[in-house]
Amino acid sequence: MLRASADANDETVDMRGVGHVTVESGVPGDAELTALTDATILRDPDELPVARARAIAELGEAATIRTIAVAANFEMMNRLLDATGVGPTTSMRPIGDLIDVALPSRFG
Amino acid sequence: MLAVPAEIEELIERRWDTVRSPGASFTGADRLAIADAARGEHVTTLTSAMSDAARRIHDEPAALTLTWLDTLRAEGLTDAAYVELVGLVAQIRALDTFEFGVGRPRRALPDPIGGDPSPVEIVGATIEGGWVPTVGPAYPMSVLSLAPAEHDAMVDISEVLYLAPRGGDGFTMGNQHVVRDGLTRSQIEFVAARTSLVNDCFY
Repeated sequence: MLRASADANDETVDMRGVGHVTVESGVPGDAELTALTDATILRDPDELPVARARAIAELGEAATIRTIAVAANFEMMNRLLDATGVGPTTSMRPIGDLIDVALPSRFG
Repeated sequence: MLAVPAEIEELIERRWDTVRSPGASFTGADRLAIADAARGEHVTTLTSAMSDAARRIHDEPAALTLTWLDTLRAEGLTDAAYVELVGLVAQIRALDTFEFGVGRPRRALPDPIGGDPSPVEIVGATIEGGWVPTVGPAYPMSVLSLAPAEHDAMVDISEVLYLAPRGGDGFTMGNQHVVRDGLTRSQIEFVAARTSLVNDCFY
């Protein structure tokens, strides 16, 4: 979906930035989005206030709350799919190359 | 304190109200016990297998296997009950994650609403690409086929926290140009992708 949205909006996005914090993805605020997402879903009580403050400074409060909301939604979706055995379709698998992350062996 | 939008506050209230109500396979009390177990609390009103299942789905979803699910089936857990359990745990994770992220304490479990479960007969569900029967091929919009109320909850949460699964305009997945609370579609999808990557979910 990230690739699709970037294409639709004539944006240049380096998908490797999703998995590698040292890579600039081209998505505005990617560093702050990454830090807040990670602190939220990894339940890091020490990092979260720092990440939230950085996100607010860069993106604004409403966007910060929305970031948390989106992360929360995908915490749900990831569990629904993993618990019911739904993995990437064959057509989706090249995404692993795009984000420079190897697919786990359980996907064959 | 962050100013949480009214629509999200209303979602939270709405979803907890259904969590504590009887479902298709479980009573309201059982559904709350599943939520408690998922959160890592010691629960005495569920079988150890169900408590363990709730916790594993909550904490280690990428480590789940079909072999493990088959052991639950061998112990008598029906697919309908399993799917309802999955739906519940996933919802709780979403709600609790949001509360944590905005800096609020985890919500205390409410009191259950009494009443018996209301089983639902699902016609035409078969194993098609997943571990549990679905109506049509297994994909995000069908994985909860056996638990329609949990599917509705998933859609409700998605519409408010992310984007509506269907539709082309407004806050929908079909709208590639959407901006929601100042986040562009690319920023929204970046967060979604990062969350999934950290969770080792590659769909």
